[in-house]
Amino acid sequence: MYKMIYATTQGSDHIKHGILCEDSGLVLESEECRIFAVADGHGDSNCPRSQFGSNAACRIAAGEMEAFCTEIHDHEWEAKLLSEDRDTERLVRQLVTSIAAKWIKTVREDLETSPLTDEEKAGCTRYLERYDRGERLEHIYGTTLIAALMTDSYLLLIQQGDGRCVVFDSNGAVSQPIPWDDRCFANVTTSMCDEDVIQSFRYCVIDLKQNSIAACLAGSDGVEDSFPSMDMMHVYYRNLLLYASENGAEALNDHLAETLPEFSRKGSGDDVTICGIIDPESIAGCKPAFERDNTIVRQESRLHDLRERLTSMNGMGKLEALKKRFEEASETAEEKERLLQEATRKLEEYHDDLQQMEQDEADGLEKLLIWNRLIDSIFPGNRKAALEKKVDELKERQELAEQQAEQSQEEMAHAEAEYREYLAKQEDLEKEIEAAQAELDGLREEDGNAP
Amino acid sequence: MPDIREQETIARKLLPIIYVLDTSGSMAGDRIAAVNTAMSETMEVLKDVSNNNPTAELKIGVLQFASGAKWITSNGFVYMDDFYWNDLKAGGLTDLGSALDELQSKLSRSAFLNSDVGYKVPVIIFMSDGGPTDDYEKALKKINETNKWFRASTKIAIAVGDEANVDVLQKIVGNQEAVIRVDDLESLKKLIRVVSVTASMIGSRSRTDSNSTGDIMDGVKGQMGDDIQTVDTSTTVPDTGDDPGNTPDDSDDPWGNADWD
Repeated sequence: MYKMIYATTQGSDHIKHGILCEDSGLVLESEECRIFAVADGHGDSNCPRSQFGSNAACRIAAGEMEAFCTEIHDHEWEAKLLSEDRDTERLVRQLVTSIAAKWIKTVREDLETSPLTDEEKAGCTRYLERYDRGERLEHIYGTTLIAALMTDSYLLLIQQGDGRCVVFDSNGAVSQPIPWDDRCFANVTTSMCDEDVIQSFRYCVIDLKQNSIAACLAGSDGVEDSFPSMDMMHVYYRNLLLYASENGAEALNDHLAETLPEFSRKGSGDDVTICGIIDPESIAGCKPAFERDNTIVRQESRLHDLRERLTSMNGMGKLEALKKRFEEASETAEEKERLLQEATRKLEEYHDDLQQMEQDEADGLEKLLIWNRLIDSIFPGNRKAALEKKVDELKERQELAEQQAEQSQEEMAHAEAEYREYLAKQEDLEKEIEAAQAELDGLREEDGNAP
Repeated sequence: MPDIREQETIARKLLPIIYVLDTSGSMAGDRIAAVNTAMSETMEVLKDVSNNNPTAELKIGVLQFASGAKWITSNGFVYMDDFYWNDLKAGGLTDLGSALDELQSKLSRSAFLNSDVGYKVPVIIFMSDGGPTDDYEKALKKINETNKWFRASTKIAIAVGDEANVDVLQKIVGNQEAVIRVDDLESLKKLIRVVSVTASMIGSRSRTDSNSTGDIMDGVKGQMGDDIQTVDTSTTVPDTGDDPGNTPDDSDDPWGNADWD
């Protein structure tokens, strides 16, 4: 039994900057079908009514899809829709044409009824002139759109712009079946307001009789932007689905409502909307596969990060540079130590001389006293005072050499610590990578997916 | 019960800051010395910026060009902790086209940006004191036509001294971007630091923010005051389709199809 999932939250950055929540979401259930729509209004002050635009896109898509479902059913066109040939293209293109046309009509009517206010115009710095000329006014309401229509026999998915739509089949395998538009990239996306909106709508139709699914979830770009990789986003979605299988869809909706604000704050900062159609019973059957896949993806992600770190460590030759700096500091320290020893030796020599002189004088050696007096009479000045002065001078030199030796030792110790720390970090990282790779190999082997 | 509150999967995005530095003969002497000093000092500041940035972690790329172009960070972008500045030496020609070819080759998911959603759009800082000595127009045309990372990136150029070819730098950074002219070495050193820090802070904001180049330029002007001259590219660069170096940047042209967040 399929259940509907819907949660949306204003982005933490939107709250911080006083920007409205421009995401919209909608779920609809009837006897014949289940529908959801997710739209993300452009976060650009030149699109001041993107909130209206995203809301209108969801409402219109849901209404048109419901009518489409009835028409397909009444005309018994399911086989045509699932034919994967021109009939599919024709039918879906009619649907998206109808959605785009009604959306453009709706936003233009809104603008006619409520022209841009001065405040809104103030934000339209780059495009105001064109708006004033009446050109491309639907840009004021720019938004993306992902929508899904599910019946007993098919799942139709359509998309304009970014955001991601993820399908988990009944075996737990994950895919993003709507073709991607490479023009959607970073902060760039195609839009409901584009001139080629109809042609650039992407879609896919899944035959549910052939390929049953456990869940289909769509998220605005605020979801994917919160993860380092698409695989890690899938881990998050699997966890959501497991939560629903254990606690029910309603509990998941409550839980999302509670946790998405924090999700946005810690992640993209953007508005976040998640809608979906899920089958908790089928998901329960996927539990082993989900848990296994999550474990493997986490490990792969960890390994990827570790390898990135190691590549970065080797990227600028920092280790070699630190080693060189340490070696140079060692040489300097050795030289300073040599100079210190020399200064100390010299000081000691003179000091010994002085002591000897003092001793001799104290001993009163007659001959020496005569000799000293003779020397002093030839070379005026006090010989002892000169010797004492020399000792003081050498002492100063020795102290300076000692300071320099200490300083160079400190510098060497610092350079050594820096080098050894970085070396140890690199060696630890290499060991960690080896262990992580072995762990991953083990997991893959368990899974029977060893490369 | 799976703990869906766990935030293990939510990580900071990576913001690449790429320096494309002219190390031609005319940079020899005081100019390259100033660049070396500035880069070394700037990286210390950026470490703090990166560590304290809740939304993005910085990674650095350095590409030097003279007679040919060479990545200093040849294995890919490096984290701030692993950055180590070895002084660059100047000498040779000004092969700006080669630098663009290198950017073309490495700005892709199969090269330096090897993550499907992990990277933010790069900030590229060009610096040159001369004019190109190779066929930069061909390289620029190619990268603008084929490399969406380059097109979408925030590009700032620093023109050093009177001999810098401002027109060429304007073409490279695009019509809506900016070229900053600087004459004295002290201002150059300060500018490298100010542009780097400002760009890394503004470039790391969420994609709900738009027009980051304008904000970066405002921030730089605010901090540099009269030390720099900025050139209004929109009035000095003719927007002619025939000019291969003047391919419009989709990310700033609202009337294309690939322009909205």
